[in-house]
Amino acid sequence: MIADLAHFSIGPDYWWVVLIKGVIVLGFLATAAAYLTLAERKVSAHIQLRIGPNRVGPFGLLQPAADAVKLLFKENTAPAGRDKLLFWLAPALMAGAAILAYAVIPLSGTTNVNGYALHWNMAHVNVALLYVLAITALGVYAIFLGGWAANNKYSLLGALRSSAQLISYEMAVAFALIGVVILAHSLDLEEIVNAQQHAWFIVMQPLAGLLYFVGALAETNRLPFDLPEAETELIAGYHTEYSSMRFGFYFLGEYVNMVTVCSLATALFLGGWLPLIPWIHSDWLGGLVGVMWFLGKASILLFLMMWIRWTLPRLRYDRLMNLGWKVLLPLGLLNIVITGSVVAARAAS
Amino acid sequence: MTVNPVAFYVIAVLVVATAIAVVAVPNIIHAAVALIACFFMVAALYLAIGADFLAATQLLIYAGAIPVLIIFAVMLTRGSMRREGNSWVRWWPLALLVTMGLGAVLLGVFAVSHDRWHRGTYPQRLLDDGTTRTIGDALLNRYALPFEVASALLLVALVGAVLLARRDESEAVLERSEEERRQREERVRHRREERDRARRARLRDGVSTPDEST
Amino acid sequence: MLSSFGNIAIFAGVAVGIPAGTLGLALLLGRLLRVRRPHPAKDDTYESGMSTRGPAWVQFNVQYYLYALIFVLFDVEVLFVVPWALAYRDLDKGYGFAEIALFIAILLAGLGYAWRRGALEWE
Repeated sequence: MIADLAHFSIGPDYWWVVLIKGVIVLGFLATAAAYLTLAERKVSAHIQLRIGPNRVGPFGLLQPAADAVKLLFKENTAPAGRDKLLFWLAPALMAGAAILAYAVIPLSGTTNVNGYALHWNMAHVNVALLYVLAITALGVYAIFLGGWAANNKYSLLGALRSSAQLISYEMAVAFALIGVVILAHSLDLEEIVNAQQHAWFIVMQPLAGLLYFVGALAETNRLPFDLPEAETELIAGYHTEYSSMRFGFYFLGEYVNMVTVCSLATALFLGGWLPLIPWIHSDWLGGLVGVMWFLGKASILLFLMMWIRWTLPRLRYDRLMNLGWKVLLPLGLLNIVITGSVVAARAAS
Repeated sequence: MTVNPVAFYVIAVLVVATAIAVVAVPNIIHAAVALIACFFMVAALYLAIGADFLAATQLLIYAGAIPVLIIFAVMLTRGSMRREGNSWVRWWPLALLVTMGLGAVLLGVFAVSHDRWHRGTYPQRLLDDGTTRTIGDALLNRYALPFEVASALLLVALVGAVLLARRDESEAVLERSEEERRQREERVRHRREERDRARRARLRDGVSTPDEST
Repeated sequence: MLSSFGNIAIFAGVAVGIPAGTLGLALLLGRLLRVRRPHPAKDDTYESGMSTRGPAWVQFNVQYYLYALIFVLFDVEVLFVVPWALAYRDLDKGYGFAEIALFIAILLAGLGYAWRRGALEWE
């Protein structure tokens, strides 16, 4: 009976393997998000010649835990005129969409463990790239519905601005990724990484990489594109009225989104888990080393995002929309044409 | 390739339930949320029959883009957002009739097709590689003309959209919101100036205020 | 490969179940530990210290709608380009390139039109 249950599978994977992976990924994302907040405060502090949090634990390392406890137990104040259902649903959707998008990102190449093909992601699917785009696109609703549900003018303004911003940049990002798809000949992220054995795509697709990174900053509402919560104009934008764990979910979603876009950028442009120093990749240890490479590259991108946030000023809203529609989108199309013609020319010669 | 019956029925029930919610819920934004859920479930249904690209399309366009359009359209209509009125329109018997007619047509097609629709075996190649590349091949070789025509169709839709939403049609409305916005901006600018002045004053006095917004 | 989407369903279960459990527990504990002092001011809508005037659910700028319309159209175009990009390597290059060049040219004509008519202008 127990043995039967252990071998029951939905498709190629045992359900309990998936379950364990799911718990690990969830734990990893939650921890990463928590420590990113600490990292962000430390980075901003050093950029502004301060020290940053240093009281809770050595070097402030327990600060995220303290913050989490505070967020969980704080009183849940909420405006009386809110939409009760969506006021809960929207923050949960924000965190949920951000976490679900991570399901298809491969942290390392498939490794063989006693004849079982261990994938280093939750689900190995063909249309992985489209899946990530589609799921992260759901974040628009979390922001819009959240701002709307609060029945606060600042919230609604922030929500509208933010959703218009997100849809504008989603477009540009999607077109930028087409060049990668042409070169990799696949939408499967694992195959896309494997196609970079000889040269990372950032070398072959520098324009696409740049477009994606700019788009990613906008998609995660980071400075210089953090218009939705421009605190000088809109208090805190769409999450003005959210307190306690409702705010916590938005916060979590935002930082998990950062991890997701940086991981995706790593897989698409920085060669994913492919090492700079060669390492034979067959057993599970090799797989783990791959994960280290992957996370190392992603961390550099994350640091870059923080650096940009604390260095650049915020864009004005009309300029932001102009950048999306009149610069990034045409450049994305141009990138498709360039990539297409180069591939055609090389095939002809 | 067979459809897992349990998965199919679970998804089907959810599709129908969310679809009913769309028409039955009085609050229009709630209805939009139910619509998103419904589209999402339809994508799951496509996955269950092995159409992965179609599912991704459904997710991106129907779950991810169309409801944004609908919600923005709702935001344009004054006051309709809060009206928790009766969701039954006056002509509901007509709607019922149309729906039943459509259902009858579908059942009719089902009946005369004698199972032909699932005779073909699902190629293993598609299960392994996914359907996207095959669709691409088909689009560019056999259906090249429809592919280009689709582009022209989208162009027409874009031109139509721009014309439709152009300024002069809704001049009065715009002017009003324009005025509101100007006033709002005025207030914001005023506040920012005051803040700046205060900050400069503080800086002059040598008191630094580190940005602790995180 | 396809059935891997079942994995996503399992993951969704984990991603909903564990946070919901934690949250429920925290809410329960919070209710037990916290002092309860309801006050009407806590239920107020925040409006920079002024008393709130009117609902926030008012009519909004038509520009947002226009962006959403153009967004939907371009989203559809992306999904036409993706299968092309995947199949491109197996195609006859000159032919495949001509096809997508025409497609993108028509796309650009649309974008140019919207641009010239000021549909992309944020006022």
